[in-house]
Amino acid sequence: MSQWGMVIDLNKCTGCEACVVACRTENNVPIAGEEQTVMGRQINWIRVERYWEGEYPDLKASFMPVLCQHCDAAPCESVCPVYATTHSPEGLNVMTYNRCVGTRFCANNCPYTVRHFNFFEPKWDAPLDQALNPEVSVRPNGVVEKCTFCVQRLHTGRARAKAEKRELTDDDVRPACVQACPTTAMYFGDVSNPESEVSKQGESPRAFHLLGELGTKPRIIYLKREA
Amino acid sequence: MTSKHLHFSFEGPDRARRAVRELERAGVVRSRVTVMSGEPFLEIDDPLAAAHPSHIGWFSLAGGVVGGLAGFALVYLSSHSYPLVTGAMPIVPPMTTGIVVYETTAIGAIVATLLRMLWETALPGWKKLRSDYDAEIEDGGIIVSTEASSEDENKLRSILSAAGGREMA
Amino acid sequence: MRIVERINRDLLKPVLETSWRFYAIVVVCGAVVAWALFCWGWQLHYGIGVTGKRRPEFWSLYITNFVFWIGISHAGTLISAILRVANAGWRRPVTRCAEAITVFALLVGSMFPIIHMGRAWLFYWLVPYPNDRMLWPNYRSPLIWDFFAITTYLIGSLIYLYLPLIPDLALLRDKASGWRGRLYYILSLGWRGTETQWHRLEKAVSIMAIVIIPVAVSVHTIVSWDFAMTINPMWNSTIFAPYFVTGAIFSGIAALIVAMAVLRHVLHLERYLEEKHFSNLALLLLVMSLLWAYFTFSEYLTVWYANEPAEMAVFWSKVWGPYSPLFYTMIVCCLVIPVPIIAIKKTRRVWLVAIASLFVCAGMWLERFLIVVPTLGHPRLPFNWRGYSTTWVELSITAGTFAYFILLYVLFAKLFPIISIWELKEGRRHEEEIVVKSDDVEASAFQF
Repeated sequence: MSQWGMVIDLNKCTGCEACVVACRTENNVPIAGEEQTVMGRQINWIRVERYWEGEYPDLKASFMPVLCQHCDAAPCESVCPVYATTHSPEGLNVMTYNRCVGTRFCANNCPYTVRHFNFFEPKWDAPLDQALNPEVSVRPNGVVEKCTFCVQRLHTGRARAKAEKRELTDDDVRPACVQACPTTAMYFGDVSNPESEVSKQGESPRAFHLLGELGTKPRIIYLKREA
Repeated sequence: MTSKHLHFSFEGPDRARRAVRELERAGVVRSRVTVMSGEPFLEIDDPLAAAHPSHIGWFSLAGGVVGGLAGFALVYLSSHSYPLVTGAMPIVPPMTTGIVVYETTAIGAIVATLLRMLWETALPGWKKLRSDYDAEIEDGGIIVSTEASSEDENKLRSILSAAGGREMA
Repeated sequence: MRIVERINRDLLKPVLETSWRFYAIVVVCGAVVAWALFCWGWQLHYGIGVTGKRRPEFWSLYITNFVFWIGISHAGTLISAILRVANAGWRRPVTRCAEAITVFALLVGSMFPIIHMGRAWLFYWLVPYPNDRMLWPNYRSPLIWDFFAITTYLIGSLIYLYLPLIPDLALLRDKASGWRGRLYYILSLGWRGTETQWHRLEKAVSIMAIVIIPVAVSVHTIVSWDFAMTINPMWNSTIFAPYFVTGAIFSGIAALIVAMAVLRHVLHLERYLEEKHFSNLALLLLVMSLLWAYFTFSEYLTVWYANEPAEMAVFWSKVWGPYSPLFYTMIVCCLVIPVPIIAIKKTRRVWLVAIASLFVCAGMWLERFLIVVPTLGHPRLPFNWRGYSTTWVELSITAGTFAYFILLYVLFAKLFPIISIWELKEGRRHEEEIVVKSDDVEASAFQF
C-alpha cells in the first residue's frame, strides 16, 4: 500500500503562487471577493506565506508554501464530533464534506491554520462558474474544507493503472500544485518506497518538519533554504 | 362492611404522635393509619419508614452501574461497528471512554433514583388523593387518617377526639 | 395570623396575583427574543459569514455565550446541593431560585452549540442513534463529551428542581382554580403529604444532591476541555478544568444574587430573602472572587515566566495589545469592585452586593471572550494572525438569549412559588424549636 508524502524545496521556491492558482482551479475553491478577503475569509488550500527580514534596503523575503500537512498524529481529526475528517490507511487526512456539520473545531485545532470554512454559499462570478472541475465536489455553505493531496487524481491514477494492468507509479498521481510549480520545488509520491523521488529528496540534510516539535508527524518535509 | 376514612386534624406533631399511639393501643394496625401534613414532621412516627425501609439508595447504585455499563457498551460497540482512525488514537481510548461512562453512570443513578422514589411514594396517585386527603394540611394542621369499619367508627372517633383532634368533614 | 398562613399568603401571592409589571417584562423580553429569532433565521439563510467570525477566529461570541451560560448554571448546584449536604439552614429560601437559574441557564446555554454550527439543521448527528449507515458520533471529541455532560446535567437539574417542587405544587393545587388548578393537579401527581411520601422525597432529594455535585463539576470541566484538549497557545493548559469550574461557581453566585435582589424587590419578599442571605452569598462570592484571581494569576504567571513565543504572542495581545482594555475591565469587574464592597461590612448590603454581582457577571462574560478570541487570533504561524470585530447578528442573538433567560425565569416565578414553601416552613419550625428548647419550655406546648 502506498504511503503518500511530499517534499518542498525552499531553495527553489520563488513565491510565484502558481501552485495556489492551480490548486483552486483543480479543486473548485470558491472565490471570496475583495471585502471578504480583507476580513480574512479567503480560501486558499495552499498559500504562500511570506515573511520579511531586515530593514530597507537590506530586505529579504522568505517564502513558504503551506498546505495541509496530512499529519500522522493530526490534532484536527480527533476533535471532529461526527468523523467528518479521518485518517486513511494510505496516510491522507481525508475530508467527508457530506458529514461535516460545521462546528469548526478541527479548524481551531490545526496549528498550521490550513483549514478553511465556507462562511457563505460558494459562488463563482461568470464565466468562472463554467470552469469547475467535474471530478471534485463543490462544498456547501457551512462546511470545512482543506487540501486533500488531490485525492481525485489519486483515484483516477489508480483506476488507470488498474485498467492498464500495471503497478501504480508516482507519475500517475501528481497533485495540481506539484504539477504547476515552474521550478519543480515540490515532489510528491510514495514515501514507503525508498527508490521514489520523494523519499530520496527527503533524505537531504536540509530536511525539517514545519512545527515538528508539536509531534503532529506531518507528511510534508521541507528542505531548508540555504542563505 | 363498609369502611370510610376518618380525618382528624391536630395542632403540632406531639399531639399527632399521641393520637397515633392511642390508636395503636386500641388495636389499629399501624399501616392502616396515615399521617398527612403540609411539611415533613418526621419525628411523629418513624416506624413506618423503618418497617419498610427505603431502597432508593440501592436503586441509585444499581442505576449507576447499569448506566455505566450501557455507556461503555455504546462507545465500544458503536466505535467498532465502523472503525475510523483519528489523530493516531486507538479506536476506544480508555480516558475518553471513561468520560462518557462517567456521565452515563450519573444519568443512570439519577433516573433510577427518580423512578424508585415515585414507586415508593405511590406517585402518581390521584385515586388515593380523591379518597384519603384533606386540604387542611396546607394551612398547618396535621391530619391523622385511619380507615374505620362501621363498627369501629365511633370508638376510633372518640379516641382521636380525646387525643385533641378536630374532625374534618 | 398564624405563621403558616402568612407564609402561604406571601409566597403564593406572586403566583396567584398578576400585576402590570409582569406583562411589561414579558412583552419587552418577548420583543427582543423575536428580533433575535429573526437574526438567527438570517444567519441560517445566509451562513455563518453574517457574524464576525473569520479565519483564524472560527469561534467567537457564540462560544463565549455558551461557556458563560453553562457557567451561570453552576449557581443552583452549589447553593442547593452543597448547602443541603452541609445542612446549612439558610439555604432554604434560596434553593428554588438557584435551581431555576440552573435549568434555564442550561437551556439557554445549550442552544449555542446549535446556533454556532455551520449546518445547524444537522445538529442531531451529534446524538448517538442507530441508523442504516452505521454512523455514530466520535466519542473522542470533546464536543460529544459536552453533549453527554450537558444532557445529564439538564435532566438531573430538572429532576432536582421538580422533586422538591411537588409538595408546593400540591399546595397550589389546593389553592388555585381554573386551568391552573388543573395544571397543578396533574403536575403534583396526587401528592398527599403522608409520612412515607415525605420520608422518601427527602431521601431522594438528598441522594440527588450528592449525585448532582460531581455531575456539575464534570460539566464545566468538560466544557473547559473544548479548549484545553487543543494544542493552541494559552489553551492547552491543565489549569483550565478547575479554573473554569471556579469561574462558573463565581459567575453563578453573582447571577443568583442579582436574581434574588430583583425578586425580593419586585415580589416584596423582604421578609424571606433577608439581608443575612445576601450577606452569606456575598461572602461566598468574595471567596470565589479571590479563588478566581488566584487561578488567573497562576495562569498568566506561568505563561509569562516560561516565555514560550507562541504563548507570549497571545499573552501580550491581552496584557498590552489590542485586547488589553477588555482585560483590565475584566479585572476591575471581577476583583477590584466586588472585593471591597463585600469585605467591608458596612457596604455588604443587598443593593450594593447586587450591583457588585452585576459587575461580576459582566466581567466573567469578558473573561470567557478573552479566553476564546485572542488565542484563536494568534495561531502558531504568525502569517495568519488577525484581529476580531463583531456584527449586529451576533450581538442581537446574544441580547436575545439574555432576554430569553429573563423571560423563562419570570414565567417560572409566575407559575410556581420561587421560594420553597414547605422547606421554609420546616426551617422556621426547626429554628423555633431550637429557641424554645433553649428557653427550657416544654416543646409540646408551643403553638404553631
